[in-house]
Amino acid sequence: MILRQRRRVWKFWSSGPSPHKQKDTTLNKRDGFEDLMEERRHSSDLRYAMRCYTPVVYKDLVPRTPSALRNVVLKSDQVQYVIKQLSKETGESPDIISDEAADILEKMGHGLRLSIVRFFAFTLSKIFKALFQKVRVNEEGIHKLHQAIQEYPVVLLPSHRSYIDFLMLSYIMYTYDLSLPVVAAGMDFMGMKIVGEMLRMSGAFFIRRSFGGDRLYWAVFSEYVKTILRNGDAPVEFFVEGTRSRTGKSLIPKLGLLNIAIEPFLMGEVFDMYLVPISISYERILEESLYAHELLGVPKPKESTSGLLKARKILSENFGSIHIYFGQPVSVRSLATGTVRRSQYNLVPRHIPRKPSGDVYRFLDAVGHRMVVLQQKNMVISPWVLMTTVIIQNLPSMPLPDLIRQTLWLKVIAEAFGAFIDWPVNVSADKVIRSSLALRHNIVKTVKNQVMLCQEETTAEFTVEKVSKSTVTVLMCASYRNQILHVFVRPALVAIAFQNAHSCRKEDVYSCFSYLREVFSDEFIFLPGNLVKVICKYLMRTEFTDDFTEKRFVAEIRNHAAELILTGAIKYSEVLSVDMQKNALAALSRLGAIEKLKTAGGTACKVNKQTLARVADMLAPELPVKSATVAKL
Amino acid sequence: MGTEAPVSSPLTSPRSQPQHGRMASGERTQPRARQRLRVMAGHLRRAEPAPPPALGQCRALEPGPADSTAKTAGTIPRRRQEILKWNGWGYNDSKFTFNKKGQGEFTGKRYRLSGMVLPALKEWMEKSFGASLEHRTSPRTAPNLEDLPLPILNEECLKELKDIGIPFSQDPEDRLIRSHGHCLHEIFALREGKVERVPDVVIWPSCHSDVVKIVKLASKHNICIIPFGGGTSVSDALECPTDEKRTIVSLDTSQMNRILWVDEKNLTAHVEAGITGQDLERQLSEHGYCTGHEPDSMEFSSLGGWVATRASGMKKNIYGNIEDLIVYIKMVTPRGIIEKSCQGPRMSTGPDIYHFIMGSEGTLGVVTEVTIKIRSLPEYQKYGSIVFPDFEQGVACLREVARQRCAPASIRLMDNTQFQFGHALKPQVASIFTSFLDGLKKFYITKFKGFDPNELCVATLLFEGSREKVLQQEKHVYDIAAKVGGLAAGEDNGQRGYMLTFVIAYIRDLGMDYYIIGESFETSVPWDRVLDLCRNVKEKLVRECKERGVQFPPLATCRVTQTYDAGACVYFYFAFNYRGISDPITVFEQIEASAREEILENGGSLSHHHGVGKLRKRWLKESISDVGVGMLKSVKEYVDPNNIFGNQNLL
Repeated sequence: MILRQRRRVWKFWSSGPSPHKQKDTTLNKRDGFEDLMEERRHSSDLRYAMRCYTPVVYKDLVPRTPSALRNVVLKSDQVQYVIKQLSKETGESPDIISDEAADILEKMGHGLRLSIVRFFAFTLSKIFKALFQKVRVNEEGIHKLHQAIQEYPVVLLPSHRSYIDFLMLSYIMYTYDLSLPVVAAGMDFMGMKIVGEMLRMSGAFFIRRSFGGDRLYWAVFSEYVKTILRNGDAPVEFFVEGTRSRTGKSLIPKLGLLNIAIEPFLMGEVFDMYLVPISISYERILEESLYAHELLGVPKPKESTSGLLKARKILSENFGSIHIYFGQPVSVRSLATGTVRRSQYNLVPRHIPRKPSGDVYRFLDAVGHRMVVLQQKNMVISPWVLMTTVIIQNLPSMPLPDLIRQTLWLKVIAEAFGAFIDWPVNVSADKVIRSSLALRHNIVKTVKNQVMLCQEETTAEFTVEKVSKSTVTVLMCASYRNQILHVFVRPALVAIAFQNAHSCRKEDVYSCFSYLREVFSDEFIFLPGNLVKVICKYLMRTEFTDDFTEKRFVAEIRNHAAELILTGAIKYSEVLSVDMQKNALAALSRLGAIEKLKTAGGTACKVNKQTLARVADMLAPELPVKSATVAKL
Repeated sequence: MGTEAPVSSPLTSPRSQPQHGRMASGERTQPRARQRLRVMAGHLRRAEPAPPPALGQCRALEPGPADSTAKTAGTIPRRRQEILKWNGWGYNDSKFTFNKKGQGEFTGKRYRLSGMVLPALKEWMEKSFGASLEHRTSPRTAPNLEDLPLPILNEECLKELKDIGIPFSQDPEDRLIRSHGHCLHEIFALREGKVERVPDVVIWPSCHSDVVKIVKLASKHNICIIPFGGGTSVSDALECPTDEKRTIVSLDTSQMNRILWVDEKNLTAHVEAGITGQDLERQLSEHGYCTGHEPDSMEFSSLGGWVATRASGMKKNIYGNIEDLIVYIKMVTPRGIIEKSCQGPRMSTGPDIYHFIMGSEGTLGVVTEVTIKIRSLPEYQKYGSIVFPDFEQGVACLREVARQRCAPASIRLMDNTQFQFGHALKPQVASIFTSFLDGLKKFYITKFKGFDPNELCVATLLFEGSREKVLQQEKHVYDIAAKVGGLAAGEDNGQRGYMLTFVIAYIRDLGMDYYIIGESFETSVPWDRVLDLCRNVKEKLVRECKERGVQFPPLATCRVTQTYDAGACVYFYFAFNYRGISDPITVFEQIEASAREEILENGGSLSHHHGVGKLRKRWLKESISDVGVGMLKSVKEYVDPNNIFGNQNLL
């Protein structure tokens, strides 16, 4: 019969991002960035959009249409199981629930259309050219991704600082002839009429922001993601931080989606998969002032097409350059080896949904953190970030020469700690800083050689309202400063530990360090330390006869902090940031100082005075503000 | 091999024994005639069939029994080395080799493949392994007896051994060839001349009461006994523990090989446990019966070995595995004799004590006599084969066949790599017409049906039973196959597949001559995980090779060899060219261990039928829980408190 010998592909043996080379995560950072806009400025966007697009695909891919994919999901054991369960519980007929599932899928499912992709390629070229000076991508990372996509299913994990993130990423993938990722995006985009639909045709699929209770939704959604991964239809992309970081700091990784994405590996349905951390660094973030307002409690505006059109005025502004760094693909298998017992999935049929067990949860948590750390590591820090760090230490104003001197000094230190700074070569420091200041005329101004923040006119009246307002620029500044904190966090904690520890014995310092790390672990990269202290004091002082709710807490803390600022007790107006307050609350509750109770009306909190006192005590020896410590380093 | 040894099967019908293979050709359509012929042949071979022994009587007590050259009823003499290789698998006269023209050949006269030229073998070896006929290893030509440790045995004990009158030997060769099974590292060590601990004495009991005497003596002198049946273990079960300071006696059961009685009313036979599969089936066939238990190692493996490892046979779909076939077991332990008082077909008398014996791997005692179910020889046999466009569809077909419970006597699904391997062992085509026909078939399947020759896979089938039923079943199976996209591919392909069953175990020895080392291992797994497990384990093997510095892509291939209601048995073949590696065996073992871990993590079992031995001990606790291990330990503690049966298997 058939006697044709199978071709053994020897090439395969020597190529591919071999998993055992994984330790070599340091791609050549400084060089190897390629400016995408360079070519766009010199050749036709139309021809670029219409060019032949033949992306590489996963080696075991069985091609199928989006509707076939949806059908597979709907017929899957996983979805069918939940439909049957729900039908049994609610008495609803399975057909109706099944229709509901089909409906969810319809809303969620992506439908990739090349024509739309080409349209986006064209318009985005125009927009990006207008907005950004440069869009720089590390080509070596692209090369590794190119190989990874062929080898195993790939999950892209970009950092999330702006709406631009996922558009930009898809744009890059298209440019480099990589298969367009399927992006898990928030359902809010669907609110944008035509645009939402178009985003969908370019590969985005939409998920509700929260669906904790909705089992059908969860089943359909998770099966959809897993089906795509198992077959390797396309890379799956989502934001491990869950949402855009308003503060510029990385957020604590959200594990829900990560669990869904990794489960096909844990259950043996794929041999391995690659996680690709991607760091997108903006010199200037589009939403900077929006974020500052949100942090002060102004609600986020709803996404809408008209809003987008109104926003077009930003096209006339200059947002500097973007760096996109594709990290080394990380093999999930190598992460899991020795940490997760996959045999725990042996005893229950794999289509029955389950919560991750203790060790799986810890694994996910570790993977999530690791991905965020990898994102941070490859963030490109602009001179502006160094400058804000200095400026914010020297409010309300400082002389320009001082700024230049201190910025250069900070640059040396930051580089010593491994920061990845994009400092222009062959340009004098003076020029670099002046041009940065010019670019940021909305935040800083130079008056008589004194650098200061732009503030709206102050009326004589000191009110909480007023303080909030004037804090906007500070928060904007802080959000840039925050981009560098991850470099200094650990050394800073050690320094504080030395200061606070009762002796200089290694154990004492270490235990103090560990404690601090624990306290600030919600901040993730451990923000300025005194907010927790403020809250502690507040909680200690205020007599809470009743339990209080989270909302009330946030509101009251804000007032309290504002009062303190007014009275001059604290100088750091960043404590007004909602994010920080929430993190502090989470930290206190984790430490047992606040007990969270589920009540009918939501979550109530109860204060445990003793523990609280201890927390306050540990932080007590009048902590110098962290950023001050940073500066001292 | 515990049982279903590597790869495919003999062209001989499974009924006719392989050594009779040459007369089995072309008989498929005339089962009756063939049966008569076989009976006649049997008579010719054995002009005087041994008279049925008196019950409970020992051959050893009969006059003039004990000299080592005495011919016995069994195929395997006391000096096994007279007919079997000392350094590899099977008979001395049968092996794969390359002739002067560089063509593959299988020597000897025992098998259908014997004396045939295999033109595609060389190219396959070169392509699959990067091997070359120029790069040959130079193994020892004779066993290394010089380095054998001196036997540990005190005078008093030796005297008592002589007194009980059971033949024994301290000959270095006898001892050496009972110090190992057929694991890769064991054979490799033999070829390299590396010897470690070997038994100090080999003893040949010829009946139950001999064994009782030996065990009593061993208990008295605190001697370690390692039972030895067919020596086909692939789990390190026969390896002598290097830390064993006591005398080690290898208790060779090969001379306990009589069928003591056949009960035609109840369809059972009472047999001594040392009988080999081929002797058992041949002798029963003289009465028109069979057990139907056909592990791939059945030429050499013994009934007692099957019991001790929970063996499984190729045709278990009709006849069942060993645990389904056993009606009665007698085992001699240091604590005494364990048996049941009746032969009722099923009992509710607490946990089945036979299940402590089955799978005990020689740690509790010696199985001496067994009552096993027998059946009339099947009236009709037919081979078949199905081609599938890919492995996934093949598995879907087997799953459906299992669901509808219409599995033929044997159904095996080979992956593409194995299918290609099968072709490497295809004998030279005799006529232009045959090759033309082959070309036509190939054209039909690949061009007309659009099957990708690098994806397609083949299932081989063996039907057995009454003619009417076989034809009915055949149709049923082919209908299922058609529904999942399979194409019936003719009897010849099926037959060739089964022809290779007994021959395939010989191929490793050829590979080792050219720097290729390999092994097979098996597992059982629920249906829904078969595909995932096969893919992941194969990929794991490839990836591990790469990471451990193997210079050439390995052969990593699998087949589904058994179907059950709730899952399947999967067999893996793994081999690679070890040129350029300084310690190939260690590398091989590490990779094999990582593959086993992958199996366990993908929902596969520790073993389907090879057993645990010493090779897989480290995973037993994880497999059967701490308490489970504790239960087994407490049984061992009671039955054999002084660890007389000290082969250190299992626990």
